Amino acid sequence: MTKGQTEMFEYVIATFFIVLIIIFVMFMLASYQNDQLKLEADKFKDQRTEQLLKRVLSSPLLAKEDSVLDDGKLIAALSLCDDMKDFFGEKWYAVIAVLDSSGKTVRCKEDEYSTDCNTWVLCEENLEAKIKLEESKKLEETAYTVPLNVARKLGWVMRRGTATRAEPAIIEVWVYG
Amino acid sequence: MVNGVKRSSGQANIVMMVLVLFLVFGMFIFLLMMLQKPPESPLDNMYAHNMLLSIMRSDTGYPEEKCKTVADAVACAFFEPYYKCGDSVECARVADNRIADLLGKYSGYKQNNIYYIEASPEGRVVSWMGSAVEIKRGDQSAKTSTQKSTAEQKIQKLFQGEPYTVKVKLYMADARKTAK
Repeated sequence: MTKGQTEMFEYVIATFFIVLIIIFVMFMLASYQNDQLKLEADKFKDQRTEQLLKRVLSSPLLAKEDSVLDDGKLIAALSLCDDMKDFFGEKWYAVIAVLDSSGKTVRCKEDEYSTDCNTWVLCEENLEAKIKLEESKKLEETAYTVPLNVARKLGWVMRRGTATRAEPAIIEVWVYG
Repeated sequence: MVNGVKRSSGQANIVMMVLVLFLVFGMFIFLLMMLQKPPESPLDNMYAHNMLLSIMRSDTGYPEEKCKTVADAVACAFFEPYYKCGDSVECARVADNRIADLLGKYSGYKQNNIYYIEASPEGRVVSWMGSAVEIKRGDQSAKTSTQKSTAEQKIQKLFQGEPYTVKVKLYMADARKTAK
């Protein structure tokens, strides 16, 4: 092998490694950038869910006071999804469950007040739309869970209004799209 | 001729070494960025804060004012420990049992989390049966965990015309990241 060939061979090898290194660095940077974009998108969805949760917990439509939902208002809200969309936006639904000792899930029904039920699903029609999206595999969703209280009426009236009992409960808010 | 070949080969080696060093340094910085501690989630704080609020506001099952909610029973336990809810159970026991019951319920919901609640009075300590009342419930390793969320609430009550405060703290941690 002549000197020229040797030099050429070294340059080819060196160039090959340099290109390899550049490709590797580009790949690393691209994957890092991709992760950052995904993080930003997740952050945006998280923020929307968090804001929705805060608004549901403090809205006079549902709450008796901050983080205490009224069971009477929850019953009324079961049939008011369209109105709630104006307040809270589209593509969400919420499940509120009282943590009672029965351990059973008894769904509350529209326009039928009962203290025997323990679970309310707000905007159930959105839940059905979500299931359709799930089937078509076009669904990305975030869910947040937070403890709260549900004020349940005890059935007798006191001087300051109807007597209530604050039950521990949990709310799951789902945002999808 | 021979010297020329050796020099160019040496230069190529040096260039390669510099590039490799550059690459290693870059990877080190990249890994260091990946290992950065994630910021504390605002949702964990919101969860802890709401959980403490929910526990304190929950009813105990006793109708009288001093024992109606867990917060009432906790304040009663520190300032009137001799008082009996429903003429049968001391406030401290009512508060303790209800807190344990509610912690159990919430633990069942998020099974990876551990919780610890402690309450302490500010400004006035009443002893009962020879010792000061203590309300501490849950897994104490949540308090010592390095990655925990903390929520605090102050219960203010009037006792003999004077305002007194009880400080209640909830510590929440992920059991998987907590050394026992």
